[in-house]
Amino acid sequence: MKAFIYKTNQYLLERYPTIWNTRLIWMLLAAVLLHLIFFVFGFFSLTNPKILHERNITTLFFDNGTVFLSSIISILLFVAWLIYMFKNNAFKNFYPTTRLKLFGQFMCYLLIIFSISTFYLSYNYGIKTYVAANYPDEQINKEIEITNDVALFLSEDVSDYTIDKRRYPNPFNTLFCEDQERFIDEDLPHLKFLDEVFQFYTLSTKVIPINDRNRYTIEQDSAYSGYVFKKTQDSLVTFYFKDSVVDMQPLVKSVKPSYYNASFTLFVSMNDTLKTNALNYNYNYAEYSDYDGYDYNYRPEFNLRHQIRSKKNQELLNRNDKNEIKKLMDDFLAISNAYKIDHNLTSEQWLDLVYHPGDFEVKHFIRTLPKDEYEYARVAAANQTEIEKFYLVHRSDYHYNNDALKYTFENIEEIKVSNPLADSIHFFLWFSFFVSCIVFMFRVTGLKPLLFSIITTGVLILFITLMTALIFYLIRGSDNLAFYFISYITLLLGTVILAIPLFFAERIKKLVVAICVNISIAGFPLYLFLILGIISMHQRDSCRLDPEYYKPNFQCHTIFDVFELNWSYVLYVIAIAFIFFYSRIIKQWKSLPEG
Amino acid sequence: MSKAEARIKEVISFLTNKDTVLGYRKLMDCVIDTQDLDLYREVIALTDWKEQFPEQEDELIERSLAILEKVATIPISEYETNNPVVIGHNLIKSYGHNRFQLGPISVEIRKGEVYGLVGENGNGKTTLLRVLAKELKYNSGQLDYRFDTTYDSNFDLRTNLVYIPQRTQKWYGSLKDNLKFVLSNYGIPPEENETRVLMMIARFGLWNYKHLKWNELSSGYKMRFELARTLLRQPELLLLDEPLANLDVLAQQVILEDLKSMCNSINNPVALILSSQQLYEVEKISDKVIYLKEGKYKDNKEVIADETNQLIVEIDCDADRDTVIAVFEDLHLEKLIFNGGIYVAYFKEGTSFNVILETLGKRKINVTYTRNISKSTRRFFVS
Repeated sequence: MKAFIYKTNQYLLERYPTIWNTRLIWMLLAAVLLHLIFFVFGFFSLTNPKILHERNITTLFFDNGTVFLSSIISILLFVAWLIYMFKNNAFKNFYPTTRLKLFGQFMCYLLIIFSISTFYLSYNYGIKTYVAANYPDEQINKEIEITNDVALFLSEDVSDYTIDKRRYPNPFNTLFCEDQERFIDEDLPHLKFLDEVFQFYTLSTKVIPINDRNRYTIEQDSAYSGYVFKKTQDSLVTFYFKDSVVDMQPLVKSVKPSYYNASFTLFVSMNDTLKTNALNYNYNYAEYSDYDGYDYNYRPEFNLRHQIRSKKNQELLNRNDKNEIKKLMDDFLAISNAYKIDHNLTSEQWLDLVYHPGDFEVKHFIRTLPKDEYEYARVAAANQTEIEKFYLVHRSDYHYNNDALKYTFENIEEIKVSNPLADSIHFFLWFSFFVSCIVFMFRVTGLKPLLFSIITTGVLILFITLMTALIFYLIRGSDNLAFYFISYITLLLGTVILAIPLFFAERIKKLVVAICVNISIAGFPLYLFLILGIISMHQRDSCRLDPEYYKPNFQCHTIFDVFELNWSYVLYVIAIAFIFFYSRIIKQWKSLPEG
Repeated sequence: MSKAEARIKEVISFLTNKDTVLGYRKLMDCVIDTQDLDLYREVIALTDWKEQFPEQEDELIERSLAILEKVATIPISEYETNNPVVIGHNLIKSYGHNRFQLGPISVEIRKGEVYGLVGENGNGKTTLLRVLAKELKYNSGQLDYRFDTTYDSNFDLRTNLVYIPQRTQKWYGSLKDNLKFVLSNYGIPPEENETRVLMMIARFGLWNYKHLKWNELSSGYKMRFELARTLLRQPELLLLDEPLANLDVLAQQVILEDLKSMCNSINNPVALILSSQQLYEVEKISDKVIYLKEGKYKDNKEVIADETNQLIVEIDCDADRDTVIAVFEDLHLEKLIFNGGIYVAYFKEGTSFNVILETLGKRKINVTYTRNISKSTRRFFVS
């Protein structure tokens, strides 16, 4: 092995001195190996499905400490690499070099730093591969279907089973159920369960075309203020208003909580293609009473999904097939066990809890968390509502952690659609670019100019910041003008820094030129970004002159809209090309005499 | 007889007279000038053998002579050294108003010649070297480089001149790799790299040191490695600042000899300018000595020609001043300077150094050291 390394090194040394000097081959080999290791780490990080119970598992890299391991390894590799690379410096010793060679050196740094700083990607692709291999789409879709079919029996919350949740059959899906006591007219027909009152209304609508010039003025009109929700579809905005009260007594056998009323879907898959009409609820609807009323008006049940789920649930109950329900429960518990979801249910016990043919009344509730060992029978407190008392009385000792299951599905689906590369590529690209720039600066100009460059940059930033503060103070009331002023000052400063090594290198002290060279190397993309920013500022200003500007749909196109986030790639390519062309200036600087 | 033939003859004479160390070094110079890699390999193999069996001198001489025979068959083109590589005209470097100023100085440096730059500390030796090396800006004057290699940027120009400062940089990693790195950067074909490096290692007597670390080397060997690295670069102009500092007398002589012979290469000479305090040693090998005093230039030959042919003698003895004056009473002593350790005696034209020595012997003066410095820049130091 040692002989092989020696031979390879000699081979590279004799043929490709830059590659030998930068240890490119060895660093890339080490990086590939470590990427493989991190991939394997990622792959096995989800072997215990319990990890999936926590929400937002896509950040697992940061949550379980792998980020520290990865950072330490990256830093160690980086330092070791620098120690080896700094042993030789052809440029410093005036060995012959070309623009391409110097640029090649920078590219080696970039490649190495990128490859030793991106273990995050391998780790996440490890996770993705594991999920793709162990949780195929068909299996997950099937499991989600079973889960949603059986979910009505999870009996977690009374409110999921009250009559207002029923969305099937007609007319339940067309009516609005008012459940806030202060809006209920007791003189008109209504339903009551314990202290909960339900009054059903038909809905009337008003429509405004989306592009109506006066749309916002109309909406301010008092005629529109009392809507319960609005829906935007195609080019129309439809406002829904409570109309007349409907007597539901003849349609409802019992007001007690029943599995017939359940219309919730436990987990909505990302792949679900059902289009539930987007509704915007009128949060102002309840504001004239008190602020707390705000939340009560949230009516997620008024959509197609609830209607379909309600229908499906009722069909299952109507079939009244005990074996079918038990089979569903068996399948569901098998899935739950596979994911190690915390529960103490068996299909038999569960069936006993919920199977009450006829009106399928909810007689027992299932906890979401295990019963506390020291839980004592709670005496009904005076401030408890009737519903709360009802819940406590009917609560069983069984538990099922349905959040865990929900998050498991959510995590699996999120990991599948996640794209770690696309999400982080810009960060890693620019991070490695700037670190490479610093290494490059050190290699070509030396430590002293590098330190002075850092100090100069700091001083310039301080200067610009203070200047900004001063300008804002001086021209209060015109932020725009201040922004222009500062942007142009920065642009001017940048131009001077860029121009010094290009045109005045011979006339200025070598150290000062070195500082400008260094700032130019790293600062050129930022300089371009500043120019883009200034152009877009001008464009936005000219937009303001457009008479259409204050229209809600007016779009002001700036230069940033041309490539959007892809500007990052454009600037990156330009920044790298700049280093290639700038290598000539760097060589020129190096040969400058001092003094 | 061509230069190459004369040199081969000289080497044969060294070897046959058993001046093996010197002869072997000169043999390597001859081989290096052939640029024949097969011969390089033979010398490398012989060096390896020599280091293993140092006592087998006769066989070494025999094998060396065999190589020399082959060398003789290879024609070596002579480099035309008449044209200067650097021409400086009225160069002035000032460090500011009322501060040290160097020059105006005019120099012409040719390949194959050694220029010694002497002067006391603070008189501008390093400044002049750095100006000539393009390390330092000059305020006025003209500086032209006429290298054989064409270049289109100052950086490329500077790849052909090497300036070695007084404090050389530390080398990191394998010494041999450092040398190979030079050649690969200079675009030497990979198959020649190792051979050329080993040849240079052998030439500078570093064969047994090539596996050591930089820190394990003595100052003398560090300087030799530095020279090996420099000469691998085949510079057209070489500027050395105090290369002899920190070296013992023997090491100084070897380094100077090496420098002289390298720079006198028949087909690949180098223009060399070095600064030093070791006057005698430098004067011995230099074709021209430049003496700097307060930034001003004095060419010893010119200056001395201007003055009368005084005899100036340095004497270190235990006699007191009066005794010394008494001793030289009849010898036209003009001036006697005592600087605390050494007397410097100035005699009128016509006095011979032999008479001085005779007188000192006859009067039984206990002399520990004496030297005729009439033609040496040493006289500028002591006056």
